Amino acid sequence: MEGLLELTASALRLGIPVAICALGALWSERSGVINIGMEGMMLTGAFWGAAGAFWYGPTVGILLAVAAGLVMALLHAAVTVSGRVDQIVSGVAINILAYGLNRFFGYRIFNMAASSPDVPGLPEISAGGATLSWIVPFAFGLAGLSWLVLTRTGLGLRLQAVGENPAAADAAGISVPALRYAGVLLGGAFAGLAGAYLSIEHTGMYVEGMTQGKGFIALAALIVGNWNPFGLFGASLLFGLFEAMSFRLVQSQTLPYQFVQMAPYLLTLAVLAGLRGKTRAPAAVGQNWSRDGDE
Amino acid sequence: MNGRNQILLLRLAAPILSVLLALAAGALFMFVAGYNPWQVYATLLTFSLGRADSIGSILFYATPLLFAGLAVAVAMKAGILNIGVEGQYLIGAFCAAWVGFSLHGLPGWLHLSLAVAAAMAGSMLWILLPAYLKLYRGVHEVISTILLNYVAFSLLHWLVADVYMDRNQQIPAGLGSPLIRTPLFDPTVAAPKLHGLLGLLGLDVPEYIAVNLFLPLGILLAVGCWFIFRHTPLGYEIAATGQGPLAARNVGIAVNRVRLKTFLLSGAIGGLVGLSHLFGYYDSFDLDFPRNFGFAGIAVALLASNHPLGVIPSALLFGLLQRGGEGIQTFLAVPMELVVILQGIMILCVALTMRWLDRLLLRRERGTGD
Amino acid sequence: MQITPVVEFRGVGKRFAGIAANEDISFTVNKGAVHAVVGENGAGKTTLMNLLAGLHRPDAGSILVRGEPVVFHGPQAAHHAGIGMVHQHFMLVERFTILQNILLSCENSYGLLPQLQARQKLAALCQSLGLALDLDAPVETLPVGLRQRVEIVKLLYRGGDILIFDEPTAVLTPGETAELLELLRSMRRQGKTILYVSHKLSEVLAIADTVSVLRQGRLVGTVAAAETTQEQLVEMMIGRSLTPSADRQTVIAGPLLLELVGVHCRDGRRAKALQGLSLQIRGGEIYGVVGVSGNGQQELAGVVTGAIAPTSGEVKLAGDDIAGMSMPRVRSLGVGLIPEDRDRQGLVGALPVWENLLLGQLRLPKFCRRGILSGAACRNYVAEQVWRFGIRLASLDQPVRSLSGGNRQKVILARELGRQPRVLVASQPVRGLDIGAAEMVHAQLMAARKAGAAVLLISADLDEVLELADRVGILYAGRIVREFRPGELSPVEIGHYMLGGGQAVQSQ
Repeated sequence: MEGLLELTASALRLGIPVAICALGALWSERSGVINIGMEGMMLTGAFWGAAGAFWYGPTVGILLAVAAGLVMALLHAAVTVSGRVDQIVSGVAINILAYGLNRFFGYRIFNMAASSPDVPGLPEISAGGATLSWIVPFAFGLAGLSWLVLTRTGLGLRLQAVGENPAAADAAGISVPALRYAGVLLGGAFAGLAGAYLSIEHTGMYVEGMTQGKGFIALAALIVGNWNPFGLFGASLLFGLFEAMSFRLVQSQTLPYQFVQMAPYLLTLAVLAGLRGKTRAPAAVGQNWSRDGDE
Repeated sequence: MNGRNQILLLRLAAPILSVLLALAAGALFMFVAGYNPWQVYATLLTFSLGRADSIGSILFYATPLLFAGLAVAVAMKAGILNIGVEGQYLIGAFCAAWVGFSLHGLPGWLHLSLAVAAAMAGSMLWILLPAYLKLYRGVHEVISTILLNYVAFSLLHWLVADVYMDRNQQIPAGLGSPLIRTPLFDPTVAAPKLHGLLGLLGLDVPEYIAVNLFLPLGILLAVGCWFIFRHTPLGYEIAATGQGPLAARNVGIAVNRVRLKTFLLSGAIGGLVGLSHLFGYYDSFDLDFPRNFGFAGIAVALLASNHPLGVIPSALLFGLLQRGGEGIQTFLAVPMELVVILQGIMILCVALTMRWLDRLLLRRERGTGD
Repeated sequence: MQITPVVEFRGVGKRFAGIAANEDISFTVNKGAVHAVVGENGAGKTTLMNLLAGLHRPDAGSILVRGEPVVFHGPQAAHHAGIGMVHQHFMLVERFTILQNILLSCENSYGLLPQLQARQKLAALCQSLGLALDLDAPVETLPVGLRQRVEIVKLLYRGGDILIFDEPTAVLTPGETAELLELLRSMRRQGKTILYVSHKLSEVLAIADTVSVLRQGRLVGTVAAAETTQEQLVEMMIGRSLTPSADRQTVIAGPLLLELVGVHCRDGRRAKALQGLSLQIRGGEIYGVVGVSGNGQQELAGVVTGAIAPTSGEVKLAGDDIAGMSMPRVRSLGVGLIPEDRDRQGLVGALPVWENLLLGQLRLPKFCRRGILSGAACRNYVAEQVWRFGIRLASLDQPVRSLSGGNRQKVILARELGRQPRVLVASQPVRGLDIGAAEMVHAQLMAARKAGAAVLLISADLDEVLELADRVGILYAGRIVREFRPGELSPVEIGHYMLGGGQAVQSQ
């Protein structure tokens, strides 16, 4: 029983950054913009979260991380929504930029490109012997709030319209660019938060590449969850469970640990492969739009 | 100047414009970060172009980028985003390395050819899964190839550190533990160097810079790809599949088969990316084998507008940037990462400029319709 | 009733990329009137209406609404002025319900959605117009006629009283058209002003009070509907009288080239599309297929070209069963296709004209020897086809998307007919084309018929089919429910069958 509780807590700890990131991707993709750069934004959030926590403590760290995510997201939005560049190309560029910027500032701030010193974390919550970060219940709250806004408010309806049929939304008087910017910026903010959680709460420091592809897994979780806040949350936690179990496998030494490392990625691919035709993306996702129709 | 020539001029000017734009954006960043942009750029240029060893370095650095850019560009023609070159080239390099350290006593040309074949085979196998997932399961190749990159890293770690780790090696003096690497390559697999040839052209390249056979090989491959797209039915089918898959299908082009062929071609080229370094510079495959050629390849392909011949100058430019990065780090204590940042900025600037150009041309076209 | 101008165009002009889509257009629309705007495809009708609806701004002249000059910075501003447009391509979000689509056009509702209020208001509105709508039905499940109703209700809900309709009956059956016109009449009675854009002159004369005719971006004239005739309008629209259709040459039907027997298949959503469809077409025959869109037209074209594999039944090409064969194979056996959406399904816009003309044919021995293309052979062939089909272009290398609609269709025709197919499937071949181009396309279809091909003509335009076809099949619920020769059935009877009022008949 204790083992199960610990496993659940572990799954939560590992799955929450994916979940937060996936929520961000939800907002972005529901408005019609794919964001491959979530990985880079999350890493940026991890770095600046650690830097902020190092200087002024965890709360400032989190705020700084969110701000950093917003800045990267602003770039992505400007290039894709206003500049109408292919969304995936922009995302790849953002990832490269994030890698370079983190190293660059790493040198300047910590004199090390690839890691930071330890940073303090937020006070923890204990539940039945396992400890969790404040951010975990906060993330659940974000999921619920996202669902509420998306399905029950005019803002959510309009944002969805922009991602399904931008021409119709425009004819209805909705500003497609404004809502897409909003979606992408929210995505960046969430990605920054997810990164901050990783560096401040989870590991206690920033390490280069610490996201290990979680930004991409988040995109997969979005698909598996069928672009629904609760669905993607569940898919993310499932991934966290995969990872948690894989650590236990390593400890029990049944397989070389490299294969266990691979397992979550391969399993994710297997799930995606099995989903053919069963999920439904926002109809206009990935397509840039302009009123003149030259995209 | 008539309309067609105007368009041609615009298409050639655009990459140049975008590079200038990127340099300007980079200068802004440097200024904000507290560096002197003029100093940085000046050092970059003089270091890269003013020394004989720099020219050699540029050629050496450009070689893997040439293959990577070509791999990405070829896939893009069919509308496929091969972000997985990163993983593909590492797997390919390992397979080639295996041939390198496992076979002995073969004539050099045979050994190297087998290694090249192994690299292509390994890489093509690696791209087969994303290809299958995209064509038959509707999984976007961006996600599948990126996830597989991570799998590749783990797989390689196991292969190099556990399975093929050279336990018989001489531990180098001063190190306490063995290097994590495969057994040494048989010397017959080493890639012939170009120093003699370059010397004939008047370029005196120092011995320690490993410019080798793979450079002209890459150039030949680029020309070959250009030929495919210009003079063979497959090339046109690939273009149609990439730009108008519905129409292509309706005229009887087997769209999925074309895509598969493109995946495999891109994979095969991708497998060769690391070979210039592997057989020119290294003597075994270790965990420090250079990374990020795959992502740099995306930048190279973009700057070249996915044109096979354009990849050559584009790769040279990025080679120049990389060399310049070494210079600014050595002489100005500016972190080399600046070059990576510049790379990212360049992708965005190129994409923006090209997009803007596309819209401009589209508007002109609309004006000339009946 | 007092006649008050509610909308006035004064010298309105609009240019796109240097071409004048509208030039110096001036006319007045009176309140409570149905004012039709007619013209050929490309005459500038939609552009003009888009200006009124706030989607674009005029480059010259001004628009006055209720006596005041207006400048709309977007559709929202036009909504404020009470102007709404029902577009040719509906502006609905497929995945949303009817209620959600209507709520989308509410003002200032970024907060919690006012669902209850909206439902009440909509119930009252629908009742006043005699409509019944299930507000929670997703739009994608609705047939076209109902979707149009949703668009209309959307406008009225918003308080629109100047309503613009752009080619509203293009996708309706004769019965649905009559219902729409009746709806327009009741809206007129309620004092709404209606602008009606159409090229279907019989309807226009049935419903409109005034008619403005546009030609090549300019206004030719504005006349009272009661004082004009269809012939007069046509003459204003094209600047000449219509050439009488060429006498149909009798062509002796050849061997049976295309036969479908009891074909069943599914559509993209795995729903049943064709349900036991049978038909026969001989060489030298044009077989027209009419029906409400969505009854299996695309799937019919699909099984003949090999795009869709039937789940049961036979598809025979000159006696050989081709059901389930791959598209490249079917095509190589002599099947040609003029697709419904010429730009997405028939051409690769960004590629040059010559590549599009040779699309899919580059492996033929006459163009390619030992794997290498002969540039000269390609260009010679393309140049010949361009001349033969009268394609107007500046260069063989220009992107095909820069050609006009008619010329793009000519490229497709040149490509398909140049292969001398045994079976030709033509799907909505003159959609969006002006009269001259349409005449040319029809002539080519007749030429293919004369050359002995079996032509399957699928079209939503009843007049076109009746004019061209030797025999006509009415498609309903995935089956041919009635076959007849032009003239044997009246439009009313045809409409009756189109809506399922007949019985399934095996083709003779």
